[in-house]
Amino acid sequence: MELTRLVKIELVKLFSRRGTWIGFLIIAFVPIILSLYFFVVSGEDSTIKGTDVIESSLWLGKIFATLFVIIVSVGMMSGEAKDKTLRVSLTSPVSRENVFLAKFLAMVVYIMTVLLFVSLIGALPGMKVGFLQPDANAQKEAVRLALSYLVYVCELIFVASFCLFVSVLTDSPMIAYVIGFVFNNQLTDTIQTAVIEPLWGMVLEKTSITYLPSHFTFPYFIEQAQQAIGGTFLSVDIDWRLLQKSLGVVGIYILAFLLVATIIFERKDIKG
Amino acid sequence: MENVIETESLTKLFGRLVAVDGLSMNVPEGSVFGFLGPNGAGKTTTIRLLTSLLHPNKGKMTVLGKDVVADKSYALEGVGCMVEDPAFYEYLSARKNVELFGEMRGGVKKDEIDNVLSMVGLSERGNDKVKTYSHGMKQRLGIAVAMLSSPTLLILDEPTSGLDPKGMVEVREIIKELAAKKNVTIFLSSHLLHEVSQVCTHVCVINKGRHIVSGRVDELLAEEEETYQVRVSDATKAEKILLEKKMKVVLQKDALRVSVAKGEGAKIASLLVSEHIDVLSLIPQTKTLETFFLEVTEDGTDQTGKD
Repeated sequence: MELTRLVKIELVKLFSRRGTWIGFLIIAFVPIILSLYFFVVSGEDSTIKGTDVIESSLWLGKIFATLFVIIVSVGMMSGEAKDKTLRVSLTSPVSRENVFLAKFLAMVVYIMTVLLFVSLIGALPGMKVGFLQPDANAQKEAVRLALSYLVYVCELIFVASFCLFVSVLTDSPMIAYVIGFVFNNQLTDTIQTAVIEPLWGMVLEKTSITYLPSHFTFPYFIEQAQQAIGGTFLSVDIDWRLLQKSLGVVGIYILAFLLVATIIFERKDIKG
Repeated sequence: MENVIETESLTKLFGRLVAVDGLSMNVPEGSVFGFLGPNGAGKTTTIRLLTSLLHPNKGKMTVLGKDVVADKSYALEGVGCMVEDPAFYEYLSARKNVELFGEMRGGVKKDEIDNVLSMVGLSERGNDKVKTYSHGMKQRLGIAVAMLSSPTLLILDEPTSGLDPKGMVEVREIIKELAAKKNVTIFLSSHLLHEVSQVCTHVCVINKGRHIVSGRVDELLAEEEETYQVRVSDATKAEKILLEKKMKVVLQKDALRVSVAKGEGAKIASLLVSEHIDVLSLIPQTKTLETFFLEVTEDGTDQTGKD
């Protein structure tokens, strides 16, 4: 009951910020950019389906959403500590554990909403293309889209849990942002593998980031990242075993970060 | 319940710095309790400990009978707090802020929000965003949030800081009214001794994290002897005569400070006149909270015996 109330409060705070809606507006442009890519650059490619536009919108939207997730989740903890509103919240008769979990759950709702929003916007140009090619399997396409959504949601929840964990360690939003950006190499890795390399034909050194936890966490996502730019993510036969394993590892990371962050937050002195 | 707050040997360290050093105090139910001390004495650290923002290194504390360390989340039920400068979500209106903080306390009705905003004089500006508020208005809003859900204990840290003189008077009136009509116990930390003497029934003075003295204001200021400032024609001769009569005399720049047993003030004048010394003025010196505070904080030793 208390947790539900706290999640509601976090969502009210989150969706009352102008920045949240600016983020949504920016993400709304993603399908438009993709549509331009599909219709202008690859206009003659007859194999593109409407579901590809949605999936690609999701993938590119996820890259932008990663930035917002880092900013929003750091703002929820370090930002509130810096603004001293966390202090006011914690002088209410609520458990710190629930305050922290409420912030995390609000982030889950935010992530699901952002990706659902980008999917819906992507469906508009998707309809123009025509959702399915005559030889496509509707059920398979639905599974592909649902899995893409699930994978990206999990990936962003991982980012959020990591950033909340970092925000518990430091009251400085700037430090938390930097750590969040640096360690969430999924973002840089994806940009590198999916954007820089294909566009400029460059193969960049990745030795510095292969040791970071998120690189290790998402072998499946990394493997699939290059396919995503062409709207073919998960379109080949789905390796369910690798997918389960990858999601399992992500889940363990999320739980570990949440558990450690909750323990630290419970014992933390609120000085600001 | 006799005491709404009890601390026993409460200690808080920040590295090597001892911010609160074995503090023991009791706050009686229904009192307006002034918590005094010079800058850096450990007042805000103590309030942060009581509101579970900080964790003590040693000692016990109960708030409304609940152990703050063992049950820190729910010890604050029935407690309204304003710790240091109040902070709000600047992008939200004052009303929305009050509503959200009310939700954290289990929810409040619209009438109650109107009521607390009206009490602090923010009814008309309630729908304005907090970022447009002055420091004094935020201070008022902090008091409004602390008063939500009709607390039985109100912990206020420098509540009149940043307020204009009119605002200060209004806040004092609110405090008096809450204590008198609604039987709210108020724990008030303040630098303004004049303010404390106007509203508080009890005080506790701390210095360097240690308890110096506490008790009822009237008892602490009660004097066993009377002190007078005496201006005479010959101060040196007058000092000698008064000392011979076993009176306490301090020769000041151009006057004497004389202490005598209660009701014996008139003897000073008659004695000096009988010795042919002209008494130019004889002014009784009343003990104020300010003089008392300076006296006890300069001494710095625990005067628990005075409790």
